[in-house]
Amino acid sequence: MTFPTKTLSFHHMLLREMWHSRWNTLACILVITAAVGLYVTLSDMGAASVDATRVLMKEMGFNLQVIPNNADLARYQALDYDGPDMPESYVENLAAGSRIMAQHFVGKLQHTTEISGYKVVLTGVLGQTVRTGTTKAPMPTSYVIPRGEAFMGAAAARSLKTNVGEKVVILGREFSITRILPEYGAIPEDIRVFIHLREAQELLERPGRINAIDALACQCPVDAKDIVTQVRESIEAILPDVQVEPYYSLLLARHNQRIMMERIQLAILVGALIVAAAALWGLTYQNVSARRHEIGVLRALGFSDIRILILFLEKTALYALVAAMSGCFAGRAFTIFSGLNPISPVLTPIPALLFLLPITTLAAMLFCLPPVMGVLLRDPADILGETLP
Amino acid sequence: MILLDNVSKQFVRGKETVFALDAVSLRVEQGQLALLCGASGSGKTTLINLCAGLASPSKGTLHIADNKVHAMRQAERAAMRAQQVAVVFQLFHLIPYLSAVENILLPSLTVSLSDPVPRAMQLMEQLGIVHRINHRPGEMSAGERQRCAIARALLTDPAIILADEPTGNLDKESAAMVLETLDTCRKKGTTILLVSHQAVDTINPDIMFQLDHGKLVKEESKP
Repeated sequence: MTFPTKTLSFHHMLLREMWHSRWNTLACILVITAAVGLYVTLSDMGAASVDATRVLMKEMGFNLQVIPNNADLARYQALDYDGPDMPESYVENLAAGSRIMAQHFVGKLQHTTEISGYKVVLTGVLGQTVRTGTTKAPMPTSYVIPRGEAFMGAAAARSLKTNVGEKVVILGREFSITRILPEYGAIPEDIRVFIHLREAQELLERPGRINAIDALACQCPVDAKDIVTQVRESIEAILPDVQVEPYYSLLLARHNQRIMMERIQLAILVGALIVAAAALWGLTYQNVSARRHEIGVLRALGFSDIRILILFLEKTALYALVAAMSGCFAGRAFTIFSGLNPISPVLTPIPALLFLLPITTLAAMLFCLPPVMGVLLRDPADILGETLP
Repeated sequence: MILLDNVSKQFVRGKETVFALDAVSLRVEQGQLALLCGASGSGKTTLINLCAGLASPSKGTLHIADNKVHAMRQAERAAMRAQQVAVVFQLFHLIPYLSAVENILLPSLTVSLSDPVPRAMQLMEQLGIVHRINHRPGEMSAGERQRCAIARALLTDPAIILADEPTGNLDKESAAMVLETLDTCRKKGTTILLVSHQAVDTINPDIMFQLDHGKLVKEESKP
């Protein structure tokens, strides 16, 4: 026979009750773990999807072209770029615009010429300018080309039967071909020959001038039908003497895909959380129903309603804390093992935990309230008078 | 002291209104043992529940140990039960996942007691259940469970004990032990309201009440 040395405590009672109803305890923890895990996994998967799309879309190129206001678009379409030009400084002006709805800019000086009888679009570029204040990675389709070198479009290289390491003469100046670009299946991209902007300006005798700026529209929370108008307005507000021509298919595809992904992700998340909330509510209700005689006894012994409520809330909070931690790590582990690890995860483990711990605990305690209150609002005599389970 | 003045209790069950108590008035002085008799369904348990503040009267006033129970809020009634009034139930109502001693120590979570553990041990010895100290209610006999429930009620030395058919589920020997314990409490000055639907011949009550269909039909005081 073991004689007790310590008196009873609320925590001791709580642990005893949790062990007594261990299957309910386990089910509650599993439900919350599943909900948190699902949230983390879906957030990661959403981020992975957005990353994948971003890379894909970047490889498809820029989706906006800024050209001088008085440029003839029909002539541009016909690869005749010998019209008006604009200052190179416009690129910096755009990048510094505080409300600009675009974020990657490449100034270009382009001119149609012939090499060995084949028509090419000579394009001078000076690398990429990213919008001020952002940390965006450069677009994969923008190039930094050293002086004396040329990057050749796939169709141009094929027509000229040239390869990397060979020389090519453009407008009387010799360039080394250091890269053959991947085939885009579009003109003029596949017949471009990229060189350093300064060299293009020298060859075309247009120092400090460009005749187009490629840009990438931002991921702004705007409806697809409004994005073109708003991007155009934001650019024209900074540079009134330009016109903005979107590559509609690319711009809208990118925009619509992003909006659709966000909506799908949100719908799945909301659905999953509703199911988890309903399951948690059901389990709490079942636990409180099973414990209602004990609640009646505790009240008959003089326990205040607040004290009983705190007992149940403490228990639920304990479940939620354990489950939030296990859910966070289980969700992340699932993402990693399923090979969907995003480049830039929305929720890294520690911030996710800091965010999910209080949210999960509060939500679980909130779901616990109605069934407990349902019992506490009844007369203890009613509960004690019910047939014992 | 227990004082009921014109107390009625009615409740609705489905479409029917049940009159559980109808204008009951009674008085039990401090230190008395009152026996409340009546057939099943006569309103005995309802009366105990009202006295303990576990339910509210529909009409009338109740004074329990100087508390106006009819006018008290739930929290005040809980405090009254914790400090002054203990209830013993026919169905014991022990917590199934706590051991016998832990069940007895439960009231120590609601009031500050100087030495609850030695007091619990003393009560267990007194009631002959000290060998069941670490046993759960499911491992004890009905008589042992009821003695455990009585020990729990006595832990805080309450001024009033409300015992609802405490011997209803017990064999003769266990019932005698329970009644003897209650009688000892009476001798120490505790006011006891004991409910029974059958004659209790091993106890000599100071006053006896008889309920029938919610009405007080008989009151007899010890000469």
